[in-house]
Amino acid sequence: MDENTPHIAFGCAAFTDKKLPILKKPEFLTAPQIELSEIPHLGKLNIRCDSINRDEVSKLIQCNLPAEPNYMSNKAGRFAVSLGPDEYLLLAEPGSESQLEQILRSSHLLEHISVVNVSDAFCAIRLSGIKVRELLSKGCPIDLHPNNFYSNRTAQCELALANVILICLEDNEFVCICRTSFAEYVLDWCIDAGQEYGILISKKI
Amino acid sequence: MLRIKCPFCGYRNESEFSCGGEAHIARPSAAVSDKLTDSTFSEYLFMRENPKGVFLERWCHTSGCRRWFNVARDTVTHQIYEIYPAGKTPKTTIGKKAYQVNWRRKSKAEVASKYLKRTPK
Ligand SMILES: [Zn+2]
Repeated sequence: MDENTPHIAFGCAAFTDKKLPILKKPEFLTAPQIELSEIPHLGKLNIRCDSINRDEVSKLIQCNLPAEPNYMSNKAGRFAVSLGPDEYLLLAEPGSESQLEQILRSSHLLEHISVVNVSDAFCAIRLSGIKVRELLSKGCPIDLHPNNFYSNRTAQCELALANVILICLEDNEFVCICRTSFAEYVLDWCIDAGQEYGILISKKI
Repeated sequence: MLRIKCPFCGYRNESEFSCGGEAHIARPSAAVSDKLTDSTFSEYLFMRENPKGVFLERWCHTSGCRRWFNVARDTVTHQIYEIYPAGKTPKTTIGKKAYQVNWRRKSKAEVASKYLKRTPK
């Protein structure tokens, strides 16, 4: 073995009389691999409408309501998550939710649809980092493999027994929407489950 | 743990669902229910089938989409033969048979709910 070859020192010392260099932890092991942050004041509207009204509602809110279950669509910073055959959650930029609610309420569709502002009932937590799927898998029984749960996929499921809506934004970027009363618990659980990966809690969006 | 295929969300763990008991229990129509005897009405209200074999049940995907649907499940083997929409009757032969052999099909409460025609206004 060449003297300059770095040793991976697991029992190697027994086979060589050379002094082994002290191994430094590579940076990727010490740097936090999960980043958590809240997305504050995100506008959230619960919209219920049948498929025949879907297109008209989509026009009014300027974001397509997804026809396929367990998917979301996004347009210009607005996200529409499918919650059921006739139920959707619209995530809109902070402050725009009352205006959107008014648009839907004053439209002729109101007899056929329902719109409820749930901005304060739910809390959005953003999780990112290379280990984010491993972290979520510890408490979530659904298949989070990138082949199955990719960008724009969503799921209503249990995360550590709390009901959440999981949204995959990008490969290593998720949004977890939970009840405001469960937010502290979910965050505590994420911090605890992510100890081995290193957690960075950032304030910014 | 059962893996149940929610018609909307796909396969999920049983722990996400809640079972709502026997399916296809028709409420006797209001016009007839006054004329039914207590014992007949109690067939609708209290009596439930408890078969050893295929059972038609209502299930709700509580932790997911919160939608109700019907399941034909074997109570011995836990095999699920059919999952079909709420308000519909089963389509498979096994499901159809389970529907027909249920004593409720002949109960006075169900017959009263089925054959009464609504009086037009
Ligand atoms: Zn479901």
